[in-house]
Amino acid sequence: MSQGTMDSNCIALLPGVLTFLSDPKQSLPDDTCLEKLLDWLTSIINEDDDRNLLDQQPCLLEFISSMCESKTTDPIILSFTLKLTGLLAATKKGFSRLEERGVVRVAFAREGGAVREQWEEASVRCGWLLGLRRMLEHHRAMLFISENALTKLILQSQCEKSLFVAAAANQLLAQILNFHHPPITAEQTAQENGHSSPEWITVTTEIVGQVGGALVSQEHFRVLQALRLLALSLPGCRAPLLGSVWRVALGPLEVLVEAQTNNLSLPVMEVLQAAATTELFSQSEARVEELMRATLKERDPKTAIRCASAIIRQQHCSEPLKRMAVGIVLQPLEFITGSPLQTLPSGSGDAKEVSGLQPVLEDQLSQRSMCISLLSLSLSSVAELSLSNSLFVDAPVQPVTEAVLQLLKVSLGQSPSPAPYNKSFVHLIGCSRVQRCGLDALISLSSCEGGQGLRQEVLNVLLQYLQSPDSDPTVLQKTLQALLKWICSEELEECTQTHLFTQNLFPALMKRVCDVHWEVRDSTLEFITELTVNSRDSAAFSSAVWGSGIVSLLLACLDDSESYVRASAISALSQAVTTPRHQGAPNANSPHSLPDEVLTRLTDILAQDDEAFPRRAVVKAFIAWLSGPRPPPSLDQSLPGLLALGIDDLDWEVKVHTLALTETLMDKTLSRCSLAEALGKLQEYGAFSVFFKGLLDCDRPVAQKSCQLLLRLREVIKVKCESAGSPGDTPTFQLQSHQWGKDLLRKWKGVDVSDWSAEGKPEGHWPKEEVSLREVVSQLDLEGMQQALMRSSDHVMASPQSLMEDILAVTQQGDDNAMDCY
Amino acid sequence: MKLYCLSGHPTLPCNVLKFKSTTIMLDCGLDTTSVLQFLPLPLVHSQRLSKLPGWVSKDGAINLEKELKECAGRVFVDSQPEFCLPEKELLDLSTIDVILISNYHCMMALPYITEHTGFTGTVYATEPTLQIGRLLMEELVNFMERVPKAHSATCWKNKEIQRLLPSPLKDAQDVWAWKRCYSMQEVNSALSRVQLVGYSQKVELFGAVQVTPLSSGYSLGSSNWIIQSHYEKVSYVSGSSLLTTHPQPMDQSSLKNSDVLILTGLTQIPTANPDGMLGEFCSNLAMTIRAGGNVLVPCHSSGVIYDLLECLYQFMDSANLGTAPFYFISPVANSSLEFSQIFAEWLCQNKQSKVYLPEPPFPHAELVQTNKLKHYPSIHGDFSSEFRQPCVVFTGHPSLRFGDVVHFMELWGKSGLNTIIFTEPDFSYLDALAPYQPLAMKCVYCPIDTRLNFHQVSKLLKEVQPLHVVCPEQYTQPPPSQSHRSDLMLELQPPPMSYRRCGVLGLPFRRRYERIQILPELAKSLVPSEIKPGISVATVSAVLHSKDNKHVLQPVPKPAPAPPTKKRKRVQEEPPECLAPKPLLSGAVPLEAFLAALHKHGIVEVKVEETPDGHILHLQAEDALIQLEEDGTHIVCDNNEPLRTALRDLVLRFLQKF
Repeated sequence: MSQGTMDSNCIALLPGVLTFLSDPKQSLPDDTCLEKLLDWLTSIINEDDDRNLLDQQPCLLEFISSMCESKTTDPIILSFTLKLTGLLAATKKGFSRLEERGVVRVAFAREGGAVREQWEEASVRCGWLLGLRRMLEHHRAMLFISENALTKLILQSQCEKSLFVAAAANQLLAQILNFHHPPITAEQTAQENGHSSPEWITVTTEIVGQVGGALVSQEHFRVLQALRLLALSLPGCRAPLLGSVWRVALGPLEVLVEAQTNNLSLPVMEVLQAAATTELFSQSEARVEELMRATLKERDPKTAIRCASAIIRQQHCSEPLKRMAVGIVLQPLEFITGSPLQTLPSGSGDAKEVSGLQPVLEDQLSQRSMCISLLSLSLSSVAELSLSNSLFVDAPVQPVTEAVLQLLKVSLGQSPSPAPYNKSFVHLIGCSRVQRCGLDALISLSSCEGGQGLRQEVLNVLLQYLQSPDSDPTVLQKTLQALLKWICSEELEECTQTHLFTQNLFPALMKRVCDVHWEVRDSTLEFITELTVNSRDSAAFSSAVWGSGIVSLLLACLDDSESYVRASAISALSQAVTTPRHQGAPNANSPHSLPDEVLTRLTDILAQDDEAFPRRAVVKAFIAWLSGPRPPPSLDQSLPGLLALGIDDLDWEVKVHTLALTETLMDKTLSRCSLAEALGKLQEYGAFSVFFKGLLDCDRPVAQKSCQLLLRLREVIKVKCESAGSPGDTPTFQLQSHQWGKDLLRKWKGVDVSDWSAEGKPEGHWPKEEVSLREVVSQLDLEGMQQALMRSSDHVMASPQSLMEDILAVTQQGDDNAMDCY
Repeated sequence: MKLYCLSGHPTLPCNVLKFKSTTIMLDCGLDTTSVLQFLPLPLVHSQRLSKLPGWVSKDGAINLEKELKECAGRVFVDSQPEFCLPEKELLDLSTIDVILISNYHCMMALPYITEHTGFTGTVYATEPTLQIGRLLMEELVNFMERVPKAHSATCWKNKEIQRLLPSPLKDAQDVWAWKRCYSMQEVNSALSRVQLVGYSQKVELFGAVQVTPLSSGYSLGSSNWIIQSHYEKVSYVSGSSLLTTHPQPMDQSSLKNSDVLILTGLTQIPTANPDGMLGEFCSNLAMTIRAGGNVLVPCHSSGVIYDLLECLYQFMDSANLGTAPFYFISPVANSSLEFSQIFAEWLCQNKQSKVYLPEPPFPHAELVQTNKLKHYPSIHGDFSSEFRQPCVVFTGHPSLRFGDVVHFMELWGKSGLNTIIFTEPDFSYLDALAPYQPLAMKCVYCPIDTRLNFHQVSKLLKEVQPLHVVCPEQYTQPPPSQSHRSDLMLELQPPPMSYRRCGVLGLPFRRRYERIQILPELAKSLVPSEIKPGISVATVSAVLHSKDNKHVLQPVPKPAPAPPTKKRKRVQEEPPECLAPKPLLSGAVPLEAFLAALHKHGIVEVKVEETPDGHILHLQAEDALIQLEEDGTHIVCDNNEPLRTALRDLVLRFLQKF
């Protein structure tokens, strides 16, 4: 079914649906269906701008008109109607049609009718605002707002108690301020463009005046809404309006920054951030940067840090301001650890300003909950900012890393020496929130230049976390992530590696592999997998893998009670056993036939494990082996059995992975031999069986993947045969001897072969007994299948047609149906 | 009110409280760390131990070859291990009226106190404490008696010699007070003095004080004690736990409003969180078993072992321990496992409710049933024929100086595949291992101490708000090895009073009241008059009768009727004549009104002087003074009785009489 027919079916249902909606006795099947209906109509209008839905569907106009005029309309339906009206009036043509019927006035100028009657309903006001906003796409709409003096009403709604209404009003006001109608073509006059029309100027002047008043108001919510409007509208605002908005806002903003009014600092900062994206930033008289600097003097350290983080993220920002912001962000860390991290020249005005916050900070850090939350904020900012590399203007990476390490040590309960003792340390001991934030910071710092000198110390602290029996599973997970980053960030010296792997890391990992918490076992095994992939060529790593006894522990993990752990163990083990044995690597307890033993174990797991995760992991392990440099010796022999098991699995992901494995196998084989040889080999592996079974699979992703692979195969055969200039031999199948062959025949030729008896085939047009691969792939309508499969399986369930049928089903629900619902 | 501190060990306390007219011993802990100075007692003849060289001082001047042996670079006493007893000289132990036991670990010195000291009092303990305490004592005696040593080493204790010995022997304290283990007969005799009590049961001691055990949440039957008179309350908190393990949860609310709270038995390893340690225990155990090694767990035969077994029961499947058996070897293994199942009323709610299903409260029953856990009294006998490796062995004694554990140390110590996991926090594991060095087997230290940590205790104290806290001095400063950890000490306002061994503390009590009973007939005769809403006062004349710390007001006996004869042969001993008491006065003299009254009576020249306590009125013409104070009025006028009487009557007019 094409999109077109789908639409026409839906459009046929539309009158019925609208009649249903206009019937006050009916109730909606669910709350979201009106929004879905609106989305569908929006998509139709967006698809085809020229199509005038109102002409095609006169029922729409009737519906809107009757809904707006009736006094008994349900508020929800009325709200929907207003939004729909806005949507339809968003084009000039639509606007004219609606205006002709007087609907626009009734709906949006509130001239009598339902809207005026039901104005007290918040949902109606919300629908009114959203409808207006949708409509405001052309100058006539602007004109309409101005002529009917709607601005005042919109401004009133801005400070409503209902947050939905207030937010909708703000969005509408921002849209008015940013109103322009591109593109400006030669034919369009400036008036048509609307941007400098007298109506627009009148309306915006009123709004700007109101914003100015609100900013100096004593009512917190009014100020907040004005700030939100500024933050929303400034980025899209153009000169000269931009200038006049800022002229009105600047004075009050200065006062707000100075007064540090409760909870307004962050909204003010958002306004400043919005202003910084405009030309105001470069105008010195606009004083944007100056105000930003002033927000850093905030008495509440938490807010000051948040403002500072925002400044550092800012693209355009002067170096001194950024440095000061960095100083603020680092302050709690600096204060607690006592290590100087400031990038500000000592004695400078900025440095004095930053240190001026210390007494408050000191007081707050002495309270447990504040201390933890400030440090977490500071550490998360470090993590976030070091990722964007914008934190380290003067590269204090090393001292920051040292401070984070110091904190992590204190949190483990260790003596903080040489750092001075701070009373707040007591709050940090064993605090997993600080530990997690600190480890996150370490993870991010690993990618910064300048911290590598501390690598050994970082690794030591991380190892202590790994060894500590009190580390929370989430902390351990982060520790492992950090370890991986710091181990793999740069090549370690051989002797350091040996010491690290053999003496410290592996004993700790082995213990963690046997941990009581499955989460810990799982993340440790994942870590081992990653580490093996990254370090497999290192001699030190190899000797640790083969000498520590970890392989036997991993083997034991294959029997873990938790399926996630088994899956991770499979990945880890498959990587570990193919780690090359360097010269001198110990051989204790690990015979050379181990990879093959593991291979057999994994095949057994695929055949026997009840859970899907381990089975998926097995197939993925085979993919890794097949594409890796050192597959187990007996991999080739085991593949046919594995592929057969994999494609018959109950889990669709296992089947998709099996197809991916077959794809790898296909690529590898085709790249090595001639076409005929390769296809012969693939048939021996049972690859085609996998493809065709997959194609007929009822799980869409499986069929999709198979289809894609068969298309590739068909292309390869075609190209290779053409280049060879011969039709080429391709393997043949006796379709009726395989179940998938019979299914294929049924699907392909419409032939049911289930009645075939052993005595022979019935007379008639039966396919040939033997069919070549080439014949099969070229005759199957693979493209058609692919297209059908491309559409998501819920395309029917979630279609607008089904939505409308659902709505209509409510009306058709007779007594019989009702009886069934018990 | 005094506290005599007989033990310096914070978790094995032994204190004596003199309270009212009673002498109460609080716990009777036995410090067994002294056994670490001794050579292990092998169950099976050990070549290695028997061939150790004797110790001779470097200059050859002192030869203690027979008493001291050198082993792995240290010197050990080759004798029956001895224990450090509570101080016996600080006070006369025969004066002790009662001994209150808080848990089975804190009663191991009981026979030393009750026997041969003249003690005639009673010991109070809960039933599980008595039964499991008996098992532990029995086990200890059994361990010692199985490997008797003919001679006792004493020469090394000579002060002159001891100070020349190498460390740590030369630093050992009070070595002359160290004693060999008691006998089973002494144990039985000591335990025969125990009187069983239940939680919240009130026990009267001589009418003077009442003692009540409360659940402390640490072990089966473990208790804290409330010792109170009518107006004073002392709480004794010893070995308590807030963790959810097998015993009944701790009763905290009853500790409120104490005048003094004596706090002992906090966790010995404040830095080790029991949950983390339990995890560590399991993962090390699993790692060893999977690698084909054996695990040795030196432990007490009751207590944490129940939780360890329960944890392993849950962990076994996911740890994939295969068929490795668990062995529990102790002379009392069977009784310990069975006792734990029968004390249902002393268990946490969760376990109690299992009994009604009916199921055994502890899952070790299932382990025993399925043959995964096997218990034997000793390595001899059945065990030797059924022993299979790799395995996990739980056995005592955790000091590694006696008991079956010595044998396993000798057997498994040489292989790096095996692991010894220390779970008991009572001994330094390095000292315990010293005579076995060099050791190839892996050592893991996972001390599991579920007793209160400093964080929990400060929360508890905030909750119950005692007026004063008394604790061992170790709790008033951070551990020596972690001097920066100010979180590992008690920081209280007012600061806690600390004690050390042999210390005597005077306990501060502010209230000094006694409760007195009034007999009904006397009460009937009282005429109360209300002086404030809700407060009435009456005068009473009676005879105070005090007996057994109970005070009763009885009516004054009526005078005997006069004898019929007129002739008095002799002066009779009559009870003191009771005059009708003068009425009592209350209220205050209002100055203005009083001046007005004086004026009315012609006294006009009055100079009023304000003093800190009230006023002084100078009656200048009469040359008299009236001192009006909050709690007294004095009239000073020399030789003018009529004036005094007149003034007195004036004052009385303003006061209430009853």
